[in-house]
Amino acid sequence: MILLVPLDPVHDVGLKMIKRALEEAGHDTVLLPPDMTPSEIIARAEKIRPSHILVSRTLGYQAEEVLARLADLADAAGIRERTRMIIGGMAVRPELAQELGFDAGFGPGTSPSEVVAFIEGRPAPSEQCEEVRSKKDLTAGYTYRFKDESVGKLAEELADELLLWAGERTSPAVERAEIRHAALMEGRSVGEDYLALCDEVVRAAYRTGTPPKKTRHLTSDEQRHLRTLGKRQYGASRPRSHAGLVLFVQYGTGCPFMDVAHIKAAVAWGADGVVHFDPSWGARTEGLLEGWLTHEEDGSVITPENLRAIREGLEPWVLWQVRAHRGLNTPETVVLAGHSGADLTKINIAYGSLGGGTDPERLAVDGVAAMRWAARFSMPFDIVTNEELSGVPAGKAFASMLVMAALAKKVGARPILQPLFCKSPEVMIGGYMSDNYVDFNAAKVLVLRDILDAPVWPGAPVGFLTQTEDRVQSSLTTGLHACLAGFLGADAVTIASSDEAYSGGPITAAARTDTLTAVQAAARFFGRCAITLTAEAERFRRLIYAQICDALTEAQKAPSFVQAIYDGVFGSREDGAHPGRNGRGTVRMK
Amino acid sequence: MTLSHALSRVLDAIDIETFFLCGSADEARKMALSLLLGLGFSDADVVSVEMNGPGARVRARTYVHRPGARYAWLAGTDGGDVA
Amino acid sequence: MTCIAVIGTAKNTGKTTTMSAMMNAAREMGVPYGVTSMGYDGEELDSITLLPKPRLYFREGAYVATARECLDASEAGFSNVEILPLDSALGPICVATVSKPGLVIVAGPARSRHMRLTAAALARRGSRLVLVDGALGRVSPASVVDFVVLAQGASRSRDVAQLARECSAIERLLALPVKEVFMPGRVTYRAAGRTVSLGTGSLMDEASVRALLHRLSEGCGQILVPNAVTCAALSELGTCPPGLAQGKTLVFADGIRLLVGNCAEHSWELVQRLQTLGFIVCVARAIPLLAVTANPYYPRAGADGTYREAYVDKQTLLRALREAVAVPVIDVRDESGRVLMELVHKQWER
Repeated sequence: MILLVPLDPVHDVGLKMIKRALEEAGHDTVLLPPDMTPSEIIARAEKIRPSHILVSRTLGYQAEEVLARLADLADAAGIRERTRMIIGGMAVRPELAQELGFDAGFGPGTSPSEVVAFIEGRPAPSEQCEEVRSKKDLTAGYTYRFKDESVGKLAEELADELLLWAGERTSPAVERAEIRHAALMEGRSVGEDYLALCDEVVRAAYRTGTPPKKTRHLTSDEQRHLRTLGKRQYGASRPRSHAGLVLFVQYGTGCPFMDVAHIKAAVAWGADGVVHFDPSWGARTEGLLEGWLTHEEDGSVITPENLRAIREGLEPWVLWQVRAHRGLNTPETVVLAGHSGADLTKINIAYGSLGGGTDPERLAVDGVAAMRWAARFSMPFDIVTNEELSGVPAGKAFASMLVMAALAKKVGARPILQPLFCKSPEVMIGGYMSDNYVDFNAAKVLVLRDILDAPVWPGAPVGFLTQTEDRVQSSLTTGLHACLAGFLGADAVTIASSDEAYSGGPITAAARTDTLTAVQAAARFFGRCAITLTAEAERFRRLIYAQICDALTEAQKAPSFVQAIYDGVFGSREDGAHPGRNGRGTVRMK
Repeated sequence: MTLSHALSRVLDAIDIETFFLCGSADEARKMALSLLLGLGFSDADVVSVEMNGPGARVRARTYVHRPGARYAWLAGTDGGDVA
Repeated sequence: MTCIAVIGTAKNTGKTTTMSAMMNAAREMGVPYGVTSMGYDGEELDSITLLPKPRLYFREGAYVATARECLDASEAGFSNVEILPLDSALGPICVATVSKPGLVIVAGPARSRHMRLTAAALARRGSRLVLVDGALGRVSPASVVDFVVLAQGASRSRDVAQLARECSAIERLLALPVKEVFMPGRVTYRAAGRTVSLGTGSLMDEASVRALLHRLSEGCGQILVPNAVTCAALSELGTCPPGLAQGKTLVFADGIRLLVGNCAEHSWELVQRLQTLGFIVCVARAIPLLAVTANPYYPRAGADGTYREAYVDKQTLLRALREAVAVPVIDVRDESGRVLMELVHKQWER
């Protein structure tokens, strides 16, 4: 039996909500009228002998006296042994509850179900957190069957050809990946055979212990601190309201401490997964470093030790992606990611070549090897069409994406399609988002779903280039874009922080919580509602589909998939795509 | 609870937001920076400013702990109590 | 072990300053002491007025009983932490020895029974003196202590005469004669060798007193009220016909019960009326007033809604209080806690 005491008639709405929640949970309640004196209240409590007395009141200077008198009288009347006294409402903190003599205090924002849980002696309800607690497999239930047979046929032929082509070739990265894997299996560092395949700066780092410019080794004290920091597990305190949509955020401040602190904050605020951002110079350097390395600028260095530290800092249900989608170390990165316990990686030959600065031939060899490694580690990876940001039309980017998805299927890997929700050059030139940010993005998802039965995970992050530095605007646009992904039935979504458009300094933790809060609020607003597209969406869908077919047909005519990339089939110079040079000439026949 | 203790527990940065009555975005930027510098913060920058009508909505930032610097919130004999 | 509660008539009447003064004096005099609170002592700023509040500084060797969260958040270092099976809004109450000096956030039990157990734990630790800090105007947990120091101040009211009257009333209520009887769980009276109980242990309202008075006509000698008694109940008792009241003994558990939830002046006035009617008003256990401390400070609300420190005339306040009570009236700011400790020593010498 719970006695509910509203001392102030204007503010007992909360108490009435709690009463309803208690009754639904099967408890007896008595709601007193407001304006009873403390002695009247305690006299009543003496008679009905409640297990709990819940008092609600907004606070002001005199109000404290009344509440204190109530607690005092309850004690003098001897009822406190069987009656717990709880106070709740505006400006209530545990310290205040303590000062007033109550057994517990609830602040504003405490939900009725939390109060019920407290009364029943249970920990606070977290059924939504239970859902999060088991890692979601984004690829579960997908067959990877090409629903569109003609496109599927083209894609698979190109994939077969690429597989054959790559099978005859190797590169330093492919070899390093093998060496790294063996070393990790045996628990040792890599040796001279590895270093022979690396750039000088990496060799120097291993041999002399001098890390590259702008990085330094963490001291053993710092390492210890980092591990302690990582061990604190907080759990997700905010309930998920974006039903089923797995929410990813990106991290990579350069400093492992900052990363772990940011990751924990993001996860506590509702992130389901985190994506590792490494420094851009990593893509241009042959060889990966070892050790606990911190980096002065954006991007956290990929080393076995750093990855392990991050892994230890992740709550067990948090999904972790380490990207290998560009640069000269893609297969080895996948190996490291696999050994470090990452759940996902990212591989995209076309983007890495056309927008990431890596030589197409090299990245094609490496990318296929990377996919094989991903398959070995049973690690799904997404294929992200970042080349759209250079100006490549979505259709062309999707064409190469589908080839890679087909290839992935053939090597036993599990790909995830990652179209961009962004205001790309194509969009700006074509005026595709002049009315809304919905139709074109929706068309992307629709066209892909019509072609292939595969998971779709819009990125990267969504709303890219629609954000300004204004935190409200950038948080809101992110929240809405994330909801759009939800409306379209996406399996996951990657969101930015509200600092996305600010380039004057590193991303702050507050900026991360901003967008997570916005996503939650927007998802709560829409609930299970659906969205209606305009006729433009269908027009865009047909446009993109035509581009896909054209690109695949063109690619078939080219001597090879790689040559098709060089020739601009999957993104031309006019589009803004430029085949990269890093690693040119490093591929050799086996 | 002292100011220096509170500052030491800032994870990364402090943002100050306000609305200035002013004539231009530039003026608002200068005022926001003076505000932060006047409060004793160096390393200040304006993150966003939007000027409309009588004034500007401004957000300025000062980084208390940059990635890679010494973190006051990590110091402590127990190896870093972040809670 | 002697347990002393420092209770105040309101917030900011000087309880914590008095506590600090007594702690210092105890330390200087080599008396091992333990400290707890019936509320929360630790914020630097008053939560409403935002004016700074004093905090408790502990030296090495002192004992403290506080909630677990407060131990972690305190500056001082502790050893020998013992967790008691007593819960509070800030976690279980712990007893600890201060090993490194510093400020400590003291949050102790709000319930009388828990306060008794906590004081006992502090005594087991080695305290000869246990000091209990009050909270706001709360007094009920003081039912378990041996003495009370009353912190009176202008924060309660700027009407110095009223403050004096209040002190006087409190002193009288805490000085009621003692009748040592075993207190039962319910309001009980004995008549012709038979014991009759009401359904409750308190006299909370007119209705419960009417039930009692109705049965009084059957004739009885002694009425025992173990728990709370309100002014409304005392007032209703005052409607008892004089013939009936004559010679009957009203025993309350202690003087503190007459203060809980009541205006002291009103309570005393009503007790006097009962005495006039013929009741012999007693308490089962004495909790004497040891001294009164005077604090001229009060937070003054400005027109702009902020609060500023303000003071009534100190000499006027001291004079008025000294005229009103028999026990010493001490200005804890100027005088040290020595005077208070000397009073404690006197009690020990008895």
